Amino acid sequence: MSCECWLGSGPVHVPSREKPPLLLEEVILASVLRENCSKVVKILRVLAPLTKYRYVKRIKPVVPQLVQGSQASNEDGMMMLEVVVCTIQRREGGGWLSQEDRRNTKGEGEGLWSKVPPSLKAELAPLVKALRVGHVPALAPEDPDQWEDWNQVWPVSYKIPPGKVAKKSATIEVGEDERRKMAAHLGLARDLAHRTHNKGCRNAAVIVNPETNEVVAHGVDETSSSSWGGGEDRTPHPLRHAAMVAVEKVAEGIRAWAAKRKRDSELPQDEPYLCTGSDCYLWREPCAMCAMALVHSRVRRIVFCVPDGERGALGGSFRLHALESLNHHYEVFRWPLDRRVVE
Amino acid sequence: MAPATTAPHREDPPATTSSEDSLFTDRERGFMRLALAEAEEAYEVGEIPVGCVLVRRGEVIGKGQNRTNETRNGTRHCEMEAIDGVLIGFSQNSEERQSREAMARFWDEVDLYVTCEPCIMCAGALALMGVRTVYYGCSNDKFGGCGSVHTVSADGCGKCGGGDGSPALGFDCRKGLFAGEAITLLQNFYIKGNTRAPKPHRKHLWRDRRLEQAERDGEGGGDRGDGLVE
Repeated sequence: MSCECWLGSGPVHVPSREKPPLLLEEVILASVLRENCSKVVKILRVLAPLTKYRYVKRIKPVVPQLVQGSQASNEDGMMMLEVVVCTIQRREGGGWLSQEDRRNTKGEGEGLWSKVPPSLKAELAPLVKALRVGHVPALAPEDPDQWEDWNQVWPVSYKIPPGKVAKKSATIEVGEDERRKMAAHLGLARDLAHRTHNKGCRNAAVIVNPETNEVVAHGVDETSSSSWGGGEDRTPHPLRHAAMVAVEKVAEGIRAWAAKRKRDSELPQDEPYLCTGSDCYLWREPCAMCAMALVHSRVRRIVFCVPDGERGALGGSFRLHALESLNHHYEVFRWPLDRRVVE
Repeated sequence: MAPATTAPHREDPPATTSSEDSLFTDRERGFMRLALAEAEEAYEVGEIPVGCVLVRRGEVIGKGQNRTNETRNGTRHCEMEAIDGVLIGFSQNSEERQSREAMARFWDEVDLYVTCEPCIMCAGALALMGVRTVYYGCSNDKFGGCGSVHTVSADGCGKCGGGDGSPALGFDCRKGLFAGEAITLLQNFYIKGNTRAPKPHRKHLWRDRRLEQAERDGEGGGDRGDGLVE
């Protein structure tokens, strides 16, 4: 086993979709005495439902000294709450119920009250101490971490989507034992990529059965080799990328197995289907051709070291595994090299 | 004079109307017929019925049909088969084998006629080879690399750290030539069922009904639609 010191701190899951960043939506917040709060919320529920922002909690308790300069802070010993009235942008589902309201609100004069839908204004005015502009997250959080972070901005709720453990952007953690196995296979990929090419390293692919941790096949970039496809002295083949070569070797193995089974009926009836369930370790991030070849081969997981920010198909130029129409999706991990090695 | 598209877009509806066929020349139609013949041969031997021919200077220089089942290799699409065939055909002393530039010039005169839109893998391969124009029949809404799912045909393909490191550029596409024929072949194949592919989780019910219907139609029964309604 090779020393792992060339690898960086650990594998990074490349989710099929980037987590959405925190975007803020400008809203009008009303300071309300606690005793009036339920009335206000009742009114808002009817006249200004936040259908587009269901995850946004309507109420937030206020620590008095934080509400600087507003009248609310002067209320002695009175518990104040802040309530989301509506979005400042006149959006449907953002507390703006009727089209008329959206059209007619001028947004000028009288401070913030002029930005509130007229139908609401009459009902709310007697119950509200002050209005101010605030922010809520513009999107629902996608995982517990995000939920925790975004709660700092304004209270939001997080729901695990029905039938799913987490959204697609959720990251997968790799255990210690699995990490060691990953590192060893990446070590083999690295050695193969370096050993076979004295003119700088190219790429190598190692296909592993994760159940047995056994290397099923490996291949190196053969684009400048004149022996390929079972023939010698041929024109070098521009498509003999490492992953293509490795997949072909797996196929050779299955064909040999199928031929053997014809003679030996003792062998199980179910032939392995392509690379189903196997993991592919690559030195470099695969190109579009190789990444798709691994989809066709039904690989379970791909791990690579060196990213290709310009042409890579698994996070570099695009994320092939994020294309929903494909009939198969694998997990992708990138294990960055140690900084010292890169230098 | 350039019909159909050269820069594919995701929004393009699948081209299935036979009226589009008239946008192509007789010569182009002739080559696509050869590709369809390849697809039919694939169908006969139980492979996914997609076929292609490679054409250079008006001559067919290579042809291929899908062989994923026979080879137990999901990457052996007809395009790959055809490209391999051409590369094997180069003689030891050919100019193309001597110089990289000559090889690039060779492929820049090659057009592909394929019955179904090349998948993302094949589109990458065609970009890496440097072919000039790809003519295809039906679109491929699940895997298409020429605009249906991704735009490899426009973006080109990387080299995974191999080759000379220069990026491979995209190629022109013209679609819709004999799309109907290509789709019919594929539909017939999937009604029959791909025996090698793993059993789908839910689709079998639908498939069985279609199969029953097909059999009934084959027997000359006139109860159209009966088998499709539960």
